[in-house]
Amino acid sequence: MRLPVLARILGVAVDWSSDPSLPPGMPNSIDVAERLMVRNVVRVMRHWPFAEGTCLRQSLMLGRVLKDHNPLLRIGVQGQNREIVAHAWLELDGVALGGRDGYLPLGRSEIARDGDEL
Amino acid sequence: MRLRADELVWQVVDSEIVVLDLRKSVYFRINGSGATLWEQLAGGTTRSDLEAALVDTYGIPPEEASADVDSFLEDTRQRGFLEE
Repeated sequence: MRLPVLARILGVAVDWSSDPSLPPGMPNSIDVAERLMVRNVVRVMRHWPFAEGTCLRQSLMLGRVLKDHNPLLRIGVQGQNREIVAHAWLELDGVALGGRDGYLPLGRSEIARDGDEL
Repeated sequence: MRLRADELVWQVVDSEIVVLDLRKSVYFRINGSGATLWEQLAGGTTRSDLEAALVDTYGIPPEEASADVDSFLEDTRQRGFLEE
């Protein structure tokens, strides 16, 4: 199943377009019960037996839990020791949940060159 | 011609382009002249502009640029990346 379809079923929109400058953190709009669910999801995923791609699974599960906040799923990449590493995170209510740790979001923008004004 | 933007997303990482094919959930890395051509296709372009981009960027003869463009377009067509 394609990621955008799966994400939509779970109530999470995948965003390929927005500016990648949201600060990391936990939105103030999330109530105590939701924070507890978020914490529980993170704890369960930490012990998930299939270690690959847990950030995507975690983000999709958190997106389902927080679907009333209209979360956006974002996929990003960065270079690490000549390898490309991918990461997934949620953005909602003005913050990147858990942060994005320097990952650059995948998108469809025209590619800027040095000296281009953004 | 241009990239099928509904099926592809990408990002520049350390002068390479990392592409995610959303249909197959597969990543690709494109560097060098391929990255130059991808950049052109992202905004829509023509074959002659692709060749000119390689000549301008790498200072290669037009015949070599034409062969490189042929090879790149063939590969991207086979992968279903192009909208023509």
